[in-house]
Amino acid sequence: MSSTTKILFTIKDLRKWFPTRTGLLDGIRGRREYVRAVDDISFEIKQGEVVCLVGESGSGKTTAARLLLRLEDPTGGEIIYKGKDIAKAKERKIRKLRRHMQMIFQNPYESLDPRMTIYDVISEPLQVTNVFPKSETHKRVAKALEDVGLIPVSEFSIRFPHELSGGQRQRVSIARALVLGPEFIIADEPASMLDANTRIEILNLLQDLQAAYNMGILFITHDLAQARYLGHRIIILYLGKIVEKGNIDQVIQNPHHPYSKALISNIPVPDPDAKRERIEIEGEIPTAINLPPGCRFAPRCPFQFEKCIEEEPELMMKDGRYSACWLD
Amino acid sequence: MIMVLLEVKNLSTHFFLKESRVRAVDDVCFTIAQGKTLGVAGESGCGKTTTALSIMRMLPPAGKIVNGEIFLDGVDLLKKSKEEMRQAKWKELSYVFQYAMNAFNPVMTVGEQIAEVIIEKENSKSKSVKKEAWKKVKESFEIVGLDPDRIKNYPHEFSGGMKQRAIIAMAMACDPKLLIADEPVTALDVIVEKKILKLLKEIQSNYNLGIMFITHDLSVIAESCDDVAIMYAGKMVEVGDASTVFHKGAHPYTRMLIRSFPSILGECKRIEPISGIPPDLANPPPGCRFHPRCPLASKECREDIPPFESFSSSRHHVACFHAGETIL
Repeated sequence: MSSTTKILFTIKDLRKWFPTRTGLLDGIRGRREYVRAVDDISFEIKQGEVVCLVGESGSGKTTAARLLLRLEDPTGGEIIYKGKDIAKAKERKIRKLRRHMQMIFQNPYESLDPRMTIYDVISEPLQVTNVFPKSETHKRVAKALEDVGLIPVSEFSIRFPHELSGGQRQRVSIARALVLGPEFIIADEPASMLDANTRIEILNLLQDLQAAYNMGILFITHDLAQARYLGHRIIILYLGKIVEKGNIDQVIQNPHHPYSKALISNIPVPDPDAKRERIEIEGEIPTAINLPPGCRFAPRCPFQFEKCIEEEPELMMKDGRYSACWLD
Repeated sequence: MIMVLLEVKNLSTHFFLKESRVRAVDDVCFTIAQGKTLGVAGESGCGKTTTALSIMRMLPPAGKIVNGEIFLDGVDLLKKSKEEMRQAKWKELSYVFQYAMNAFNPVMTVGEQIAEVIIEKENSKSKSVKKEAWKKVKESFEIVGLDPDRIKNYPHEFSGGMKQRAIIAMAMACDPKLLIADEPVTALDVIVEKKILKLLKEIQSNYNLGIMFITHDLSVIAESCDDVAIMYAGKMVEVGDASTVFHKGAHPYTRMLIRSFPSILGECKRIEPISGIPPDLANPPPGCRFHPRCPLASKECREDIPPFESFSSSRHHVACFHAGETIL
């Protein structure tokens, strides 16, 4: 990638706090609690780059992605898409932009309407956006089906989702995302529900399409092995905060943040004789309500000391990557 | 000296549907030693769960065991009457279902649900049995690392990892000799997953428990199993100790399957998936069921069913005419 590559997204201090349900009395007293799902995160996505957003369930991965597409309204921060802040843009404007940014969902058994043929599923975005002439619809759907390897096109067009395997359904989801010619795709665990062999097929397909159309991809996954396979850069989230971000090989081979270290050292590898050092951490990820003042990871961190409980560490650059830890 | 706990001989389980007969498990043989874990892996639909359900004699109505013997501690489970089998469940062998942690009754406390199992197995509702049962619930909570004070909690008060621990506590409540765990860590986060695997290991060494561990994730098997069985399309294709199967796997399917798991260790190369899809088991191909997808397939493979024979050692069995040959 050259240094002149276009930046697609610049995210600055993006925040989403969900109010929790409180009692009437607390409401009157003005006491409100929030789930700080995404809490001041900043990053960039360039054209033709695969950025992996990694973290456990409840770390805010999906919320962050939904914010980027404005499927959710941010509580604060900026979402700069090609130079324009769309964080507060009106729905009508966003709709026009959405054809450039599409999403692939995790579960291909739930994300396709069972009563629509494959042709209908893939042509729907064209009808909704109405940016291409109607006469092109057929050609575009056929091209998208070809791109994802569902050939012969005429045969797959008339089928229903239930007639397809999990891998084929996920190909349909990808075709649906591709049909508008987006420059940015969010793929939310696109291969996690699939068998090993189908998973590799889907990851390879994404890799090929990404290269062919020079798309930016935000790849959301909890599986670091998948992230490494597909990604260029990685962002590790913990309770709505970025704990580490940088080049994916650098981070996986030599993580700086204790949470990244724990996460990476606990990933199972397909080799029974691999000798690895494990970092054990206590407990499970808590909910992001009533967070302590210091580092969010401190209560579970094996290396915590006084400062961690008192003050929250900022993301700092060191050896070409960022991490948020007082030890670093 | 290795004591055999479970011996499955020539098991065939078929599903009798309206117009077809699905050979879901066909002539499968394997053993599980006392205090050891056998990991059973393969793509969805290869017969892993059907094998487990056959051992438990819990097949759905269409499923019938058409042939074979299943010895647990020398006793053929298939010769037991329904009532005898009911008695054996939980006490001799217990089963952790896939997604079992989501099957807790939401209006009963977790402790009640475990006590229910124990009381049911004692076949008496006297006060002393109930008291004893609750004592056992507490003990089982301790075994799985849960706070015994939480036996009065409801399932929704538990996190995913805690529920999975509680399910294991339930499975262990009547001191079984064999535990069948179907995808016990699939829905869990990496760090929690590692903890559950460690817990199973601890329980196993303390109670000399035999475990049949079903998963589609070979990385998890590499981390946690002594022996590995690879299934393909209802057939056992290779069984051996983990190190042999992962490093000196002789069946082409085994090797291609292992290769299709991306890893965070080693080089990050593009993985080529196995071409084609698993066969329809209502109408499996003649000869070796893998031959349509196998790069080594010859005339022999297309015509004859390869025998399941010992290969490099008496504990390593492979069903392939070209076992050990190099794949180009």
